[in-house]
Amino acid sequence: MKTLMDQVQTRDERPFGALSLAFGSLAQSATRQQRPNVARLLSALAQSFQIQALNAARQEAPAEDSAAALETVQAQVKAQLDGYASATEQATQLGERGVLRALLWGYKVTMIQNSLLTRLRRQGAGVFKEKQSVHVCEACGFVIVKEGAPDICPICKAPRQRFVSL
Amino acid sequence: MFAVRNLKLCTKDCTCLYVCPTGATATEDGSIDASKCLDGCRLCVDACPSHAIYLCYTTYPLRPLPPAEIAAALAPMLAQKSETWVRLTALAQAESDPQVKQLLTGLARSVQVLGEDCVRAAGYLIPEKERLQTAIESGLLQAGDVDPSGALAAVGQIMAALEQNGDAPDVPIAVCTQCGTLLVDDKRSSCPHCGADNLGQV
Repeated sequence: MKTLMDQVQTRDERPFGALSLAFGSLAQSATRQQRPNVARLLSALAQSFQIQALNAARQEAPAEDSAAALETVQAQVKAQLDGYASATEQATQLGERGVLRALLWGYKVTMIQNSLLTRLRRQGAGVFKEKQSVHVCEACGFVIVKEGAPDICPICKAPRQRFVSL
Repeated sequence: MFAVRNLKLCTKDCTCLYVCPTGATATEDGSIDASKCLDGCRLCVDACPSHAIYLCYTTYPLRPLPPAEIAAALAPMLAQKSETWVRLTALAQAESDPQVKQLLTGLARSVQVLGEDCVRAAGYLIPEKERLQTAIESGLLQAGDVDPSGALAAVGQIMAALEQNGDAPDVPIAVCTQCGTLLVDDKRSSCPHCGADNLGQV
């Protein structure tokens, strides 16, 4: 994991967020391997690094108001769309089908995140119609504001059971 | 390897009970007793008309990492996703309107899934002791300001479990919600690093 994290450059060069995501992903995998206590340990490491990441971020930008912060977030999301294009070309040239699948879905989901951010910044809570809530597909990250989760995820075709409804 | 029953698919046809040579499939709580399951037998897997039983491996060959160019392409994406995820999580926590909070939380979750995709695509699909070893040796776990002994204890237990191809012991695990200090098999009720007493049990 050192090689991956070495290449992860973050603003303060301590990749807490990336470590949290890595340990969180491995925790889910350990659960599927029927190793529940290994999963708990990995999940605890993920939580620990997430808290440290949040504390570091708050120290760096304590006074930013939420409108400015959302603008920054949307700028980051837009920049990520370009990253997908070059990674997709790499993966295609190398014939890495597994990586390509994640990149193609990830690109579509990032487009949806961008459009939701536009609506959120413009309308705030007005994004929600009556009885609507937020649903996220845990398989691919597709996110939607709707009354009830979709029967099938439009991006990855996972069934409704794969959605988490907030 | 050992058999596992997926209770979401099980339709209670019970053919697994008829065919199992050791009675491993006949438990009270719907699980299959791995200690009785015969490695590679697979009679129950093949007998189930609902395909509700699968085989879970205990040993996994070390997976080769994908080409270096892939990791080089994914690493900056992972960095960006993790930064965006942290920002959205912080915004959600600070938000007072419950609907805006919910949407921010959903967006954070969505970015989290995409970040985890980058980790897996870079080759880190399952916990492997060879990969975790490099994390320990690099000092990454000690990069924070908190006392790293809990994190090191956690990784130690994970490594031992992987070495034995089994699970870690069932011990209390707590995370300080203020500073992130990890406490493994530790009975203290307040954080040794920052003194806070809201420890989250894992």
